[in-house]
Amino acid sequence: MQQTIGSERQVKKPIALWVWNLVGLFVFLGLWFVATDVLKLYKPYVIPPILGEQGILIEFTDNPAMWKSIPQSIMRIAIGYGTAVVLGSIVGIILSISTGLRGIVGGWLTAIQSVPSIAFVPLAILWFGLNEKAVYFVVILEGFIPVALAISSSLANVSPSLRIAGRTLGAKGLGLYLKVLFPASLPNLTTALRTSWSFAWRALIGGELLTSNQGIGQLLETGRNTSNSALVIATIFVIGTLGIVMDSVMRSWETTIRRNYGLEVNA
Amino acid sequence: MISTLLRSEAMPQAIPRNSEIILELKQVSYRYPSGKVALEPLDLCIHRGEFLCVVGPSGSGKSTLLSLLAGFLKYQSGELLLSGQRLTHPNMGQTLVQQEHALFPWRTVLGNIEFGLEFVWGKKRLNKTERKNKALEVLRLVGLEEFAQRRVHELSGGQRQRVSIARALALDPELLLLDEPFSALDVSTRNKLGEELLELWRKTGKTILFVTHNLDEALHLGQQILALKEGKVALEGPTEQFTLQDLQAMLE
Repeated sequence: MQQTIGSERQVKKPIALWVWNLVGLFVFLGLWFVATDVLKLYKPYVIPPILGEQGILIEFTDNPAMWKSIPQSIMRIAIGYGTAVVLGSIVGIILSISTGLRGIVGGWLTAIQSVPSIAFVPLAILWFGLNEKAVYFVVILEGFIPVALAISSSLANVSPSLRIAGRTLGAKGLGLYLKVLFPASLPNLTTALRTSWSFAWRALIGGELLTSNQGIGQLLETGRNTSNSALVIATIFVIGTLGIVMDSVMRSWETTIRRNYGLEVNA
Repeated sequence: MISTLLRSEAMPQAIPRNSEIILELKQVSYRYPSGKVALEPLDLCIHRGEFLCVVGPSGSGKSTLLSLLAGFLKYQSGELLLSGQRLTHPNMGQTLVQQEHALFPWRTVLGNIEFGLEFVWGKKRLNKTERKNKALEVLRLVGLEEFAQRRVHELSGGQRQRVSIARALALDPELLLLDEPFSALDVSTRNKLGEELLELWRKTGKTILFVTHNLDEALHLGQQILALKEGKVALEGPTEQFTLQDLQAMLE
């Protein structure tokens, strides 16, 4: 009897969430198309149509700046985020050693983290000029904090029984870190890496917007200067898509790890 | 009733008194940083192949004794010798199995057992295949070879403790320390694992120090008993000298 119920359920597989996501996207684009392209309810420089000379699509098909900017920004986020993770790990390990240090420095890091990244851009420009360094500064600043905080707290909070198990079986010093403390912190760390990613991504766009480096953020500025709302909207779409893709890759990694560890998996 | 029945069956052959001394404590004591005495100066000898049960209520010093033996606490007086060497820090010569399983969730069952072997250097260093074979061999001892590739969270409580014991045994320690390893398990699993531990002891000839607050369990498993109370020895000797009533009376 139970088997019948089970097999019925297998036949009637529920529609996956991503299918609904896709449906939502098409409905939205359809409504947009009807309102702008078909009914022409708005002026093209306010809400641009999807197709045509002043449309959004043309920004992808016939705008070389778009395809030059995307790899530039990806490059920058890769370097900036990578550096942030390494730096965050080092700071996190140092902070994990002493509760006092964690209290003093950790408090400052939390405070800095609560300031929106874009607020640091003017300072970065004053210090480094209107160049890439300023962008890297905000990206790294925003990206390293969640990693540092997560590593320091999760290393310090590794269950004493795991630590004891490691030591009684011969692990000490670096071996204990590499084979017990780090793996034990990994589930917390994956969450922090994802948070850090989204902070760094926002910082990158803000930094590029306010400095004059070619990149996705700069496309927004170009769009504003040329009253090209189609470019602005196309760019927002790119920012969102890249953000979501990276986020879901990291989320699936996080889920795999949590599942392997026998931890609750956040939907 | 059941436990006395099983006990007669399970009683091991006596270890000859002249067998080698594995562990020797001479006037070993420990005080908490607050100054409160946890363990009064204690003399103790464990011979190779003995199964000693340490019993006592909470605060009796049995956990302190175990932490000293595992090398996690530093004794403040006396001398503690394992195979003639001063014992000062955690070491593969004495491995500890804790109350909670403490298996590494990021490793498979087999990976957990291999863990300690990865820290063996020098002449005794095993390569990857050798480590795996050794781990499988130990896993077979506890009857879980078909679980080798499983994840820790897929095991039952009893299976986890079996793996914990196997993991500690893989290093072939002189002394196996068990800290109430079955106390978190239900009664029938606890009894079953007790039997298996005795079987394992007979097969491997390991020297075992088993800490428990369960007097029945101690009488059933131990060949020797050491009862502690308020940091002092209350009773000590071969298990057959004592009844449950003796122990209860002494520890009340």
